Amino acid sequence: MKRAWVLLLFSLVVTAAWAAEWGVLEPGPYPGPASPGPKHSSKLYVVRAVVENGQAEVVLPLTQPKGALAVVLGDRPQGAAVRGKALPRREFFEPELSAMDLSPEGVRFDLSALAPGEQRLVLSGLAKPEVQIAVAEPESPLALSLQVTPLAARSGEAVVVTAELADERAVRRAQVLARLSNGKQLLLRDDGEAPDARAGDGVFTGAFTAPEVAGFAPVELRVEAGGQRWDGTPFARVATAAVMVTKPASGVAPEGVQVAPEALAVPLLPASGRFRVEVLYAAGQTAFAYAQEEVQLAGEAAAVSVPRPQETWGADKALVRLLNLDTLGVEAELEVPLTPLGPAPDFRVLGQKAQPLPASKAEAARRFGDPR
Amino acid sequence: MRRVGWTLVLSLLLGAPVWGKTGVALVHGKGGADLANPSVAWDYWTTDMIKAVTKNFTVPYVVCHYDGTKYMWVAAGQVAQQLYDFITQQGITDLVIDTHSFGGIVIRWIFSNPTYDWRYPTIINRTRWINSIAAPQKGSEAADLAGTLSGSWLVGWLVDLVGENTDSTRNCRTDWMAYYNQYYLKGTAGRPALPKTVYWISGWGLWNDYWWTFHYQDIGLATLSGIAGLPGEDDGMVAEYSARAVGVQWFRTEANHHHNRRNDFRAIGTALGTDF
Repeated sequence: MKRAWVLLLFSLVVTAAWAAEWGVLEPGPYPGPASPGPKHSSKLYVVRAVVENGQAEVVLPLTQPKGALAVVLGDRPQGAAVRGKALPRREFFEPELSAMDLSPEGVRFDLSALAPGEQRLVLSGLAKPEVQIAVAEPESPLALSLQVTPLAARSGEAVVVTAELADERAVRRAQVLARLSNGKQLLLRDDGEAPDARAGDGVFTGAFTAPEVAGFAPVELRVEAGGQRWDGTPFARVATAAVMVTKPASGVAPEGVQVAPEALAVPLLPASGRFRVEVLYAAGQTAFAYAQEEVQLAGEAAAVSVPRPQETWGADKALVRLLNLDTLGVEAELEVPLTPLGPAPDFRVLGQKAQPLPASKAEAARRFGDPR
Repeated sequence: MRRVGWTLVLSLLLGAPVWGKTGVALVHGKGGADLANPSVAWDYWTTDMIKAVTKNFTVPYVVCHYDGTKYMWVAAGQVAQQLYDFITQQGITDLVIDTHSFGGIVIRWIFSNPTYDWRYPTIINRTRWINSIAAPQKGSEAADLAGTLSGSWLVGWLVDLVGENTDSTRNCRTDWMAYYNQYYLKGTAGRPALPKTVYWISGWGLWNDYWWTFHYQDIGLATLSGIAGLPGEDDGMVAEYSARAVGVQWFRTEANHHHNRRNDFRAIGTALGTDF
């Protein structure tokens, strides 16, 4: 009775809501609130040098020269040598690279003939006063894996940066530094002190507070790692990532989400703008349905009723998200426990939705495709 | 007469508009601001490609043109106006949209957010399906590399050497696409389905011009693929796992990112033309 009264009340105060939508999802992992960003695996590092008389000298720490490349973008060094021996050189010009804001012209040097360890590389015939060299070691066992949690944070929330150095054996010594796009720096540690989980496991961790932003903005990170491998040879790696930070304009009111058999009522704090409330329904660790509703607010509070159709009654939890359609930020994300009103769906049936190609497309695929 | 009557009835029953008019739209990828210029957008695809897609210009078409440096929702505003005008002015009821690279993201924004813009529902309703060539649906490690090398981390004049990333390049980074995929876009695993089917074409070739004078362009793409660490197979700019993250497989092509928007190394345009 109380639940019905709450729902009735909410239905009366819902403001300018439209576009209710729901549907079944192909079953997939339940992301939960505060899910991490993607992992960035890097076997790359970048060095820079000042050019004098057309020459620049850099020290490259090589862990696996086989297949390794040193690439100069935006300049055309005429040669590169280590201990007086010239390295194989190839120029390129690819206009497509400019679509990714990279210089379309450059030169690559093959480092395969070099030995592991520090190598002093001398570049000659440079035209610009400074040079940036990207070194990739695709066949090296040493990789830096960078991840940020959560991917979407609110200003003031903690953001954890995890950088794992994976190698044949544990690295002997390493310094891992994160530079943030707001100018701050963060030293990542592998000392077992929070937020680092375990000392000496090669996973370096640090945390920072998501800064105040105007509505919504990313904070980018560049993580630079350097040190000695297990056998004492030097290494360097770099990777970048980003956390998307929202300064909430609204939020879910303290009374929380009200659950009824037919709907979830999500109370919003007073705000102005366009908002979307999205709900993912899940059973166990499998998300299988969603519903959403949008609302336009002009400074008032609102309660948004999001459908809970019968097809979702097997859910034992709902992930409620409040999205700001003006800033494209994530204002709030919370998990709401549900009492299942029916059995969990048969995920094997829901997952069997392979869509056949139309006949014309199947024929075209046979004629024009290059499978291998 | 009876046959005509039955045809009408059957057409109505099957939902195929009797007086329907088919059209095709091409939506290019990211690049410079000058892609807002129709002639630059045309050159992006090349005349041969457009001719093949439209079956020698017999299928009504629009070559969309938008500023290639902008975020997907900004680009989508420009594209939506052109699609809306094309649909309404030419009476198109059966639209096929062909996209290349970031163009696939721009279109996915429109189809994921029908309430965002009043023109979107008309476009969605009139669309038959979307063919998405080498779209960085989960982002591109090449865009990540552009961020790693970008001037924003540097001081002094070196910033001028490497430049700053545009909004569209940031949009294509893997973190950014992970974010938008999770919260604002439909079609990836664990997200609501798109209202119309996407058929993807992914590229796995790099050395398309090995025997030609433009071999140095191949070297550029192969170099990018190597230093960006594109996982699995890729077309030099977009890894296949990313191009395949949304929709239904149409086919894979050896054409690299330079050629898979053209009708030269492989007959991609002719393949797209089989829709008509």
